[in-house]
Amino acid sequence: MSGKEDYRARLTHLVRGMLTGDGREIVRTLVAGSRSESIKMFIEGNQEKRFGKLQAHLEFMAQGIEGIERYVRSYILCQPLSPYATVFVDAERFLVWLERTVMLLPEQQDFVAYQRAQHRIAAKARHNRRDYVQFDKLSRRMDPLNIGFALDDEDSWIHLNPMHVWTRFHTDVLLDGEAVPPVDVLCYAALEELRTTMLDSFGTQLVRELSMYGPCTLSQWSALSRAAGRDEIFEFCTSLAELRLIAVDGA
Amino acid sequence: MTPAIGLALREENRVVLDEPALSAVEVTFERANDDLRIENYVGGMDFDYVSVHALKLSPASADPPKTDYLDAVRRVADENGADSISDHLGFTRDGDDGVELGHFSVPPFTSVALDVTCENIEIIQNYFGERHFFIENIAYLFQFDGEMSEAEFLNAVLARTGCGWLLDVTNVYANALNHRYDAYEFIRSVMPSAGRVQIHLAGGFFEEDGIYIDSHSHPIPKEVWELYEFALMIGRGKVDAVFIERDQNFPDESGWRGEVRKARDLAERQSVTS
Repeated sequence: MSGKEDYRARLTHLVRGMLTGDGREIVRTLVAGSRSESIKMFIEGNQEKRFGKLQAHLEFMAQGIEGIERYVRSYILCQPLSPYATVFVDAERFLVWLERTVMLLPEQQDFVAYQRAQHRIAAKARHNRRDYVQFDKLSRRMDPLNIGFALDDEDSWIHLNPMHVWTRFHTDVLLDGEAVPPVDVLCYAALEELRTTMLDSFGTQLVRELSMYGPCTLSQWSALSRAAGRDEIFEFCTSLAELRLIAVDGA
Repeated sequence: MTPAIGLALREENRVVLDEPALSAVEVTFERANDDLRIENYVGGMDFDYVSVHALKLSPASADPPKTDYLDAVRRVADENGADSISDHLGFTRDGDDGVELGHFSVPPFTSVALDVTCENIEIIQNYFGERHFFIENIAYLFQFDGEMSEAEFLNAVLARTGCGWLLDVTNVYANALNHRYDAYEFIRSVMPSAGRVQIHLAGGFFEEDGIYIDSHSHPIPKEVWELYEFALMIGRGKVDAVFIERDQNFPDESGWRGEVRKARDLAERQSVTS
């Protein structure tokens, strides 16, 4: 084995020893006089930091899954952190582990679906940062009083917020009695926040249309739409702009 | 020349960024790398000196950092107008296919570890180009069997790669107490190998068994201020920036300002006597 491979093997031994045991095996590789408690402190300190990050990140889920802290601790003990993992990545792995390990109630599955939608938006924002920033700029530039004029302008394009994902709730636990499940819910990023909105079937169809067509003018959309006429789309766009789900250039 | 003086930027100390004694900030990459953030982390403010402090470059790992991670660090550096980038002399993972410890560990001070660390730092420096890279000495509670001392290892890293030294004065203080060596001698022996220096200052606490924990949770102790003065004196002309770190038990506004002013006063006094 080359020196570097030897070194890799040594680090692997050290890292695994620190993650899987109580550090006793590592103590033998320490300079004379080192104390096993120091290794233990290091290991426990790292686990606590990871726990703290996950706990803060999964705060909302804790409302729907009693004893989630216990599950997070079990997960940390059996699933080492992967290289470079952010808290989003670690939390997503936790969700996968949770679904495999625990028989979740349908209500709890809705909390998982909601959390997962947030992770998907964050991943979208990370991988398509240019689109995210461009839409944000366009959206912030819009004057709410000018949206109507802009929509009527043949040169103004309607852009759907690219940082959105759909998720489905199968129970009413997160619906506040506003709809009868199953319901498709739109999660999206706006003004550096994660937001959620529920659309009726008409609205859902229109958003899916816009997603399919890409940026277009009101006239183009109206000509292509199977769901609505120009006036209905105009009204709908006004509401979507308020939610920052669309941006209209020139507004 | 007086170094730029500032804080490791936290939400809790944004209220004192108008402090006249403050001219620099350190942006922790893992805090600034928020997928949903649009504005830059320094909030559009102008500083004389900005440094991005990374936690997972892991230069003592068997593999160099992945390009995705380097790209992300560079993006945050670009967005915040950073002059430099830094990370710790340690490893947070074994290799690319391995696992992450979550916090950096001190490497075994061996010649192979030295070769690997220098190779990785050279890759990092080549990647960041004009931006200076600084390597920080870390606080450790245990030390693996090795072939040389930490000071010898660090000296060799600085001399071979030409990277800067992020001298964490509190880490030297903690290690000197916990591993029984002379903190002044450590700084005196390493400083000549460093072409450029940044300084970290923080405060920790003593465990019941007398171990000093660098927890960034207390005011900077008198002994660390004295060591800082010594570092400024022997590193005269090399120190680019000084950053105060605090992560717990946050002080009130006057506490933040008081430490920044003191760091500047001591640095200016050294400049005057030079």
